[in-house]
Amino acid sequence: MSSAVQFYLAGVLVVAGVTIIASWGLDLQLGTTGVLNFGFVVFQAAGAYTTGVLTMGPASEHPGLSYIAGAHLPFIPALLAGTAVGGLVAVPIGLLGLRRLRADYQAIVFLVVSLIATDVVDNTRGFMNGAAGLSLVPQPFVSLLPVSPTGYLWAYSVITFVLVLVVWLVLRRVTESPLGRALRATREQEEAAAALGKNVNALRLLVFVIGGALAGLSGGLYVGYLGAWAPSGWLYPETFVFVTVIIVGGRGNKLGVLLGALIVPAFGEVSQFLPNSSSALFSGAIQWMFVGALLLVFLWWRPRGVIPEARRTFPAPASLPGIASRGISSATPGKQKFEGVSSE
Amino acid sequence: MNAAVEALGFGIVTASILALASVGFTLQFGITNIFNLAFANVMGLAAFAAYSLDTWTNDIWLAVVVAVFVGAAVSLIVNRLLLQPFIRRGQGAFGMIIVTFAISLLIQYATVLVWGDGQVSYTIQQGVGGKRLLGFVFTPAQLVIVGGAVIAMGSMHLLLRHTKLGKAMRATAVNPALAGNCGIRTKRVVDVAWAVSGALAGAAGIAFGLDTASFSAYTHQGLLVLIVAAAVLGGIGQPYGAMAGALVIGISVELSALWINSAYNDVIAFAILGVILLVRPRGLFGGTFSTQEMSA
Amino acid sequence: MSEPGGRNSLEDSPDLPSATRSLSAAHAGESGTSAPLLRVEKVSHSFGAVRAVAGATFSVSGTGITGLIGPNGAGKSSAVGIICGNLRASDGEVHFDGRDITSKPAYLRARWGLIRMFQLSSDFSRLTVIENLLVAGQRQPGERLIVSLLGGRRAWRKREEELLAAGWDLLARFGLADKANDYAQTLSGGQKRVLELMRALMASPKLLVLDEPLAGVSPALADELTAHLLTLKQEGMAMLLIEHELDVVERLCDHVVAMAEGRVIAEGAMSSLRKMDIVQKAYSFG
Repeated sequence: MSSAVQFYLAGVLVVAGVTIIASWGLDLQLGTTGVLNFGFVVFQAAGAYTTGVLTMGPASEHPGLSYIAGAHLPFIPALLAGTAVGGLVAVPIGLLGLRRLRADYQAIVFLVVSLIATDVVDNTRGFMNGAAGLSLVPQPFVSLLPVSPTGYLWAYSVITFVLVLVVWLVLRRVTESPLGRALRATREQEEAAAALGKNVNALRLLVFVIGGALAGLSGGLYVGYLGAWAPSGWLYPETFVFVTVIIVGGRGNKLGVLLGALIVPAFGEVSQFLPNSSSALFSGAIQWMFVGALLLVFLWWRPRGVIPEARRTFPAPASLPGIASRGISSATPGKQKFEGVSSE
Repeated sequence: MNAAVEALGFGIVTASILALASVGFTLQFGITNIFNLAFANVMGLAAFAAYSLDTWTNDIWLAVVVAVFVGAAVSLIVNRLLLQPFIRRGQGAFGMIIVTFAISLLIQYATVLVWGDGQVSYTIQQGVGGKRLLGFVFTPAQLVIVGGAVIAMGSMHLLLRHTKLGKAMRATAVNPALAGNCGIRTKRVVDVAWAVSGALAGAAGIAFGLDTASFSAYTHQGLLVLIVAAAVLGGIGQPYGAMAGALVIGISVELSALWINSAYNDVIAFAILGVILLVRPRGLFGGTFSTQEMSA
Repeated sequence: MSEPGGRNSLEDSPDLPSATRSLSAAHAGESGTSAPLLRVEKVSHSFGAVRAVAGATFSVSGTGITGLIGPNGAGKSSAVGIICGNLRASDGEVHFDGRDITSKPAYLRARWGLIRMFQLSSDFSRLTVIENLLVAGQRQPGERLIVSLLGGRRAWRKREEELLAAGWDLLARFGLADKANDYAQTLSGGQKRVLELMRALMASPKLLVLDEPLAGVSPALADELTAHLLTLKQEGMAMLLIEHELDVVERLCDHVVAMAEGRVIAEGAMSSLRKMDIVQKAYSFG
């Protein structure tokens, strides 16, 4: 395999890993708990900016760039900080937006947050260098990893997938647990869940923060790969790319979303092989139209996704307590056994 | 011109464009309960169709007609072919937003494919002629825009209040099932609503193009939030509310340029929208805030 | 009406539904106190200009079934809404099990043992039947993030097994064991009603609030549900039952509260209430 192809593939893997982590975060909110966070990309951006400036050093070292809070942290603490900021930013936004609103209104509230964020960051040059954004973000681990660009990228993709695995293990503890079940119940019937003792507001804020943190983690990873980050890269449609990943792959389950994170960008890449693909404009437009078409097709024909949420089953105990053995029917002699319920 | 008067003048023009768009947007929501994220893209498509005609014939008035027609036709088709099937299948409100977003992508990038991403403008002459009204000099284009908006708003009023169709539309907006039971052919009402709102979108699209020096395939999308802000401020689903909302948003956006860096213009609108959604989602005139069924 | 030996044999059985087990514990602590379990004092609630509840006062005892009757519009459902935390009382207080719960959110009231059974279909559709029961279980440490994140399965496995046992028990008892692993949305209307009841029982209720549980069910199912409720009463479950059918009320309820126009107009045994003028008059317009 030529070095160029390898380079391309390694890059694809990194982006895939980043997309998987982010999509899992959104799926926790949207697929598992039913929180319609249409402003999701803001949290990824928060993580990317944080990790970026914390590794770039102060703005004074980069004439022409103007931003706050620079430092020369090694990548891992910077990445952790990005993750934390993603989660922290979720708190005020969640407290504001996670209230009893009609489904599409709630979605619009979060969408508006995304719009405001890009606009404010775009226009406030001193915050994160405005529309031009950050550049010259140093490559993580560059002193530890092989110097050849292809080798480095392979290594980076391995690091990315190690993180994917870590996130899987952590998320599994959340979703395959009574907590996960409570989240799904909240998604299904919020009022009934509350009537059974679930603190619905707290649960939703919880997944908002966890999802935000995962978004921040993905952003930090992504900015290390891209070396740059600007508002044009996190406009509100980007959230919908993740939504497409979730809907196509299968919402409410990690495997489905992982599959979606591989399928959706892959289809987007198809545009590289169409005629006129040398025009960036053309292939960009086709890619987006593809996302739109894919969304519609799946929403119509397979809304649950390629891999739907699994049904969790429980085997019946070997000795299912029969009614006769428990003496209940003896409490009301002469009554029929309650064998079945009449169907209506 | 006094800066405030100038801002006010610009505000009225902006408000006129917004009024056309937000009344259309709110009509779609009011009658079919759909929050149509593709609305601004229809505006753009209509504006570009008009641009092609204008380049070809040099007849701006014909271009206006084309814009209105394209807006109406595309909206009608999109609703019939793409949106209604989902609604009939029972797609919830949240899913419908995603559907409209998908359609938004398709229309937006189809526009880019056909017309590229460069800046274009209509063949009218900017900055020539003009009438002085109340201290502000309106260019002919601006006069047409404001005049057109006033006529359109007046026609909407007549339609809604004084025609049978208008009454049918209002009934369908409040309770589609009941309207159907009363013999109203809701399917036809919905068709008309989308055609009318699409026509307004087309008019707004070309109005916007006439008001700016140039526009690209991406420009109209930027208006979406202003439109949503105006509609929500007035009470989503309420056409008169949308008119009022457009006035407020249009003027405040321009006036705010006096004190704040004009780059933050849109932020004012976003902020208003955000505050309203949080504090009083029904808007000023109490929009349809229920979880009523969407009409098919 | 309790059968000899019935209660003791249940307590000894190792496969007790945790609901019943926790009930036993609750009653062991009560030691003959005569304080009512639930006290509603002068509560009011208005929907706009309509005063749905206008200063209602009544109590529900910790034993037996208390009925709440009244014609349409008497304010029964609103009163229950106030009790369970779905509606905010503009006036008055609600006390449950010694606590002032007037301003407490619904989920806290549920955790304290005040469990309501919903009237309309509110099953968790895309959870299985047994998952519906499991999620209703209380005091599951695995529902807290720290516990499930840091402790993993080991931290909540024991409670899960307890709840599973109780769940299977209920399923067997109510005859839905073969549907355990089916999605709740595949159940028939009547089966969903039974699921509602089972789910409420899983939540270890001290007081079970039932808002017209027999509404819209077939006569056969109504009979079955009534029989279930009687059995529960014999097992010591305290209940507040809103019910329209006065015959059912007379059969099930020890004590009855009659409401009309947002107020309590009478209290007592159904047989005596039936004879009261004020009750008869309220119902003739109901």
